[in-house]
Amino acid sequence: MSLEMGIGVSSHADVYAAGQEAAEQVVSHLAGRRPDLVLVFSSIRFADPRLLKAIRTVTGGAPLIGCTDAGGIITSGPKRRAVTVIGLLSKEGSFVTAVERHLSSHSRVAGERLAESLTRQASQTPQCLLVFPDGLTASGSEVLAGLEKKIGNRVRVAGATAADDLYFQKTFQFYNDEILTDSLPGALLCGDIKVGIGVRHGWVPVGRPRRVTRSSENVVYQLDRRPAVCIYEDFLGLKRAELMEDTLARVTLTYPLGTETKGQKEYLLRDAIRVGRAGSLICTGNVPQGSEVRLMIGGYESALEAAQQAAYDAADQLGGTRLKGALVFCSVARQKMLGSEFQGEIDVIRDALGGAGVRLGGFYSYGELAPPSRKRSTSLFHNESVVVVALG
Amino acid sequence: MPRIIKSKWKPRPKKRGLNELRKAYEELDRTARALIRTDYLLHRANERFDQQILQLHALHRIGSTINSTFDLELILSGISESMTKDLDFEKSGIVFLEKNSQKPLQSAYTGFSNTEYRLFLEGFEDLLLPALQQEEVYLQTSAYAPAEWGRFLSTLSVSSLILLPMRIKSRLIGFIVGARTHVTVRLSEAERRFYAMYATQASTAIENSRLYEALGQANLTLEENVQERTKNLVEANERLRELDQVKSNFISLVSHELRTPLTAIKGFIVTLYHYDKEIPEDKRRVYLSVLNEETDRLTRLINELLDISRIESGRMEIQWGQVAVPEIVQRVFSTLSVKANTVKLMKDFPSTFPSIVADPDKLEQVLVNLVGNALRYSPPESSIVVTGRRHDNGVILEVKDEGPGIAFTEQEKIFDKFYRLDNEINRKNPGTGLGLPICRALINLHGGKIWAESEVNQGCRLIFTLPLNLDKQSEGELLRAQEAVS
Repeated sequence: MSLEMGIGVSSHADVYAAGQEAAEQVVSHLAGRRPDLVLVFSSIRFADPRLLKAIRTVTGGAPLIGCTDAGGIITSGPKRRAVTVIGLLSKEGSFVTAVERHLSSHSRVAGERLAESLTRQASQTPQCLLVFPDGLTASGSEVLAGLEKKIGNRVRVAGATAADDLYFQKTFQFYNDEILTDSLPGALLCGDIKVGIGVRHGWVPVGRPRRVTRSSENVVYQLDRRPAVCIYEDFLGLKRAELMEDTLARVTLTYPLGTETKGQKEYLLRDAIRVGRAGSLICTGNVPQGSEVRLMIGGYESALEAAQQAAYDAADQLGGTRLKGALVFCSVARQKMLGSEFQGEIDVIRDALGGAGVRLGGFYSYGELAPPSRKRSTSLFHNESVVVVALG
Repeated sequence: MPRIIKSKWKPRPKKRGLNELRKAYEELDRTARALIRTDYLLHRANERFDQQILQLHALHRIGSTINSTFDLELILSGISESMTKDLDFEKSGIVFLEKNSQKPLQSAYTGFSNTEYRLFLEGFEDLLLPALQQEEVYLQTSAYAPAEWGRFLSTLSVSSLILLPMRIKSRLIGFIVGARTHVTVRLSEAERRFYAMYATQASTAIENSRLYEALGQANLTLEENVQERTKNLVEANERLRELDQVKSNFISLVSHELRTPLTAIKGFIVTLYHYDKEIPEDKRRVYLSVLNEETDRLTRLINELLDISRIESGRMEIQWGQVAVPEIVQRVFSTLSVKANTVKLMKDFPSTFPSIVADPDKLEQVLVNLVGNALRYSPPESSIVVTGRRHDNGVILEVKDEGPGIAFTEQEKIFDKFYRLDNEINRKNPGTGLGLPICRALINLHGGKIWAESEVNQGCRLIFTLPLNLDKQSEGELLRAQEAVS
């Protein structure tokens, strides 16, 4: 038994009590043993040092990383307004953690530094890198580019960006006892730990393509030589002023921009989170100039199919190793698109991984990081997607 | 069979085909826009629907939590916790106001540190109260807050704060607060309606708890009242029973007392009537004197009964007048001189003894009674002394004999109606048992007190006080004064 996973959840009114309760469940899942790595995802209400103190008191100070979310995911389904604690324990494997701060001023460099710091610490062969960057202050693509540059060819990167219960104002990251913002915490899974990663979205294009006539990194200035925001004005019949306030981020969650990537079945999705100067769109990931983008629309059936496929892909990669549990990072857009049926998606993933007895843990995020296919080891930054990380 | 006509179709010029294709392409794009718009509206409706379900769920949860108890403390903490758990406020609280002063009386909070909560309540007068009177749902957010609110929010380490006044019949009974570190810029109409409903739910629960407590208190008071009344009734009943007993005793005693002299009178009259001639002169005289005595006794008894009746019904009138007590004592001695026989009657009054305002007849009646009693118990050759002294605001008088005395336990009982000491002398001289009660009532009517002091075989002293009563003037004096003026 190379890896064990324990899950705890609490929505206690008191932050400390919630941390304690969730961490105690983890320890009891691990038959009374303390985990080697702790992942914490919580609603912004719990972004309080007392939460981490409570958890670490129970887990005996095991290294901890995590972030705030837009809803937690546990085996039984999604859990809103709660704190989710995941404990990993491995005899043959090992875990190292690190954090980079001030992400907004140097996203790419922060990614490089994190990768360096983690590989330096690792005493066994790295298998998978889990990261939970601030999704509002920096471009997920830039962070990923930094990470990929240092370890991308050897290690697959998976994770998701922090969220803030759909306020789109400020997210927090957790690192041991610290509550941080604008940061990048990461954990490297090393040694004899089997990891399978699947990512899908199920969104389909509508309308004719628009050419990106001017863009820089994650800012799209023009589409078809018109201000980029016009695409949303045209399609949704909304005025720019309406989109300027706080509507855009909510709208693009359901109708992102999609770019076709070579050799991929699915379009790569990009959420626009803000309207910038002169009607530009500020996105969560990079959109290359000269590429073609289309407006994308999600559908119930295709979204669930995608989730199922992501789970199958992840499980397949474990080969003969028995699945011990899975991390699920799911775009908050899926929660919004599926509406009151959003727990159905977690049911589909659980069933695809083997049904009852499979432990799931994760959260709803603003952006997802994963390699798009088994063949390609370099990770991409995704939106509207679900990432399944199968552990064995 | 139709003829097959060979088509004369020719490919249209390339440019035209491209144009049509482009047209179709644009049309498809328009269709896509219409599709997205519809989808967007559907999503929005669905989102609102979900939001409302969540809110209803929160209302349901808070309802089932706070309506399951009447304990105000549990209700307050339940609401505060629900604000955090169901409505995502990082810091929340609920404050119940004192009814009259409208000052915070009781509260519960979640998420705030003790210091933050104290600072929050310190802003009650200047910021919170005016805000509560302003709107049903009051939102303040750091981005748009006026300076004083901005400072207030930053001391609480939050960016937005919502206040929900709780009212019962338009009276402010308290309020709910919810605060977040994230900014809430504005509330939709649906959100406002929801928060108003939430506050109503909370205020109803609080009011119910208050009414329940008041009801419980009223119940308790009622029970106490019932118990007290029952006790009073039992006591009154007991007293009535005693009174009934006293009355029965009284009637049997009175009938006995009346019958004794009447029997004697009747006997002698019958004898005189039938055997008038046979009865020798000396015997006839004895008979007549007995008749006389018994008639007197009957008269005295009836007078005393009338006195008691008058006193008890409040009809006894006092004829105020200037009284020289030593003179009255002298008069009493004269009246009783024959009865005194060998017993010496003496009086001891200082020459400065003041005259008092009293009813002379009543005072004489008291003294006759007291000295008469003393005589009954005085052995031959002994003496009875009546003394008078100035005392406080009045005088103190004492009738002292050398008789057998009265045991301590009997000293108060002798003032009860019909109470008679059980001894040889009383058995020989049946009395009414009304003398001393009448004395006490008359002295009380004068504003004085009477009591007995004695030890067995050491004689007895009956002592009474009388105030000077200078403010009481006899009608006669008033008349005289008026005449003098005119």
